[in-house]
Amino acid sequence: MEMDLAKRAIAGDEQALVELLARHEDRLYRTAFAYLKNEHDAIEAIQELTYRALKKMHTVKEPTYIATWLVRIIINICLDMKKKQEKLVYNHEIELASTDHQSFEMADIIASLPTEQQELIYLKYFQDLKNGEIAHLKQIPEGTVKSRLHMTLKRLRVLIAKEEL
Amino acid sequence: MTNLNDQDWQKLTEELEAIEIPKEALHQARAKATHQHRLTKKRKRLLYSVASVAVIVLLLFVTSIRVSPVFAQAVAKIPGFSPFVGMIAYDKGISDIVENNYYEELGIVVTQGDYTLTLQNVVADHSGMTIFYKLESPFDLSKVSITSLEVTQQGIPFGVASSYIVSQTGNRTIQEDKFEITSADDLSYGNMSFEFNLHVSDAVETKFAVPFTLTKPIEQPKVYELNQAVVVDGQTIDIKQLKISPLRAEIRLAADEQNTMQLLNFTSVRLIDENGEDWGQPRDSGRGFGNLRDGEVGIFMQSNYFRQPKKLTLVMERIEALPKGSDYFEVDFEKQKVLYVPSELDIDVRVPSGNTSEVTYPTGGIGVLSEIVDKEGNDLNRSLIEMHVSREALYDTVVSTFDFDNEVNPIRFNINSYPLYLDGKVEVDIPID
Repeated sequence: MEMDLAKRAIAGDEQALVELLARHEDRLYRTAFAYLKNEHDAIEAIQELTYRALKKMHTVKEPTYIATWLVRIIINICLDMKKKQEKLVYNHEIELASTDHQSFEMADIIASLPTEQQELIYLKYFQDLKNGEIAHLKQIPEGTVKSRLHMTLKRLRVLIAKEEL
Repeated sequence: MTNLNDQDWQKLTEELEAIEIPKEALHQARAKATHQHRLTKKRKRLLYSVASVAVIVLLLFVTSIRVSPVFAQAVAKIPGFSPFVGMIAYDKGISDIVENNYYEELGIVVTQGDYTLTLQNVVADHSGMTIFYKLESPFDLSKVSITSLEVTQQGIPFGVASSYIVSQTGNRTIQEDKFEITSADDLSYGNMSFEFNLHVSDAVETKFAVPFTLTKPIEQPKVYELNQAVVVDGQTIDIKQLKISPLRAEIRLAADEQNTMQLLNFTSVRLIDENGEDWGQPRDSGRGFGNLRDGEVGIFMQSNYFRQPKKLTLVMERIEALPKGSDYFEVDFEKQKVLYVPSELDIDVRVPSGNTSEVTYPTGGIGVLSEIVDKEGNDLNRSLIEMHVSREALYDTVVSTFDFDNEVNPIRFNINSYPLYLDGKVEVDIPID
């Protein structure tokens, strides 16, 4: 069923793609929320994701990877939106954050990692992707995924230790 | 190896799982993005033609059905029902009908020339009648079509035939199908004798007229008078009555004349019981009757007739609507000119000849252009002689050819479905006593 939907989506079936997005909405939305920390922005990210996916779905070559492809887009969108948020905060010299923004322990710690490493963590531990899948997604050798994960976890451990002090 | 604690990952997962999903807002976000995308996309058209819109719609539904194996098994055991497992498995009301033995076996076989017709089963109630039949011939049935199909009671047509389009393709010598009758008014069973009429388009024009009589009692519908006005996005909807019969549930409603938006289509109507189980609209049968522009409409849902819910809530979401004045377009066929198309809608209209119109609109609407009237208000649907529908990714193009008699230009096409929705939903508790 999922494969069938993915194939139809790649072939240009808009409804199939929207159905796929609906099926994966929990994880996609939560990933967005973890990055953006509020409902309004996370919903906006999903809207942008839908738009970009509709525009680009014909470029996906392998139906197996469509879900992964969606994760990559949502992360890119969130990173773009975060940059804009930061600019806004900086320009206006006000603190937009904190009050209505939900905070997380782990997600917040992860947010202090370089974006490349954040992405890796979400793909591996929240989206439950295998190293091979991440390698395919990022177009890098599997060995590189392993070593990057190793680096990332090392760094994360340091950050967690700091937090606990 | 720099392993982090499992606890840490669990914490991440827990933190994220705790985030509530605003389902409706996400649905709206996707709908908005889809609309935005359609507006910006360049259109290409690839034309292929089919006999009618209905056939396309039916094929789409048939290919998208998910069958519950338990139900499929249950139905397959009943003689005459097995071919329809795929067609009725998504309707819980039909499933309940089978479980409660609310159907009558006929087993009437009649041979007429090269054809043998078997009436297998009938489900009858005050909202309609569904007949399962089989047509056999030593010759290929794909070469002929059924030109007429009706049930009469004392010579008078019984209800309205709502669907009898066969979606099978390829060579075959046996064709099994169902014939559905619905009615806006309660059907009367004062006389239980009927006649099933079926005409075939073969050289000798074979005609069947098969009498049958029902013996099982017909269940009375459960009727709830609601008469409530509900406001959604500033628009008032009068919810009048809910009637639950074995074959279908029907909600009657009307749009308030003072509304600023023209309500077009209720795309999601459901009855939800105290356990959160819901009964939605049936997917292959008639969706209801009436037109929101003319007043009262009836919308069909799957029936929970054989259940005894403690609580029942009616939920209507994703109500399609357009601002009044932006809900139609107008053309002059004589001058071959398009006179008016609402600029904010993603609809493209052309008049390639004096009796042809070509309309392209976002995919998704069913019966988008079912109302065509001339300047005098005459219904031009009878002048419609041919309709081709083609689909290219996100757009449907309908080419309609008319055989005009004495129509008065301009001709108005009312838009009956468009993917823009009211912001909000209807939620009404049904008083059950």
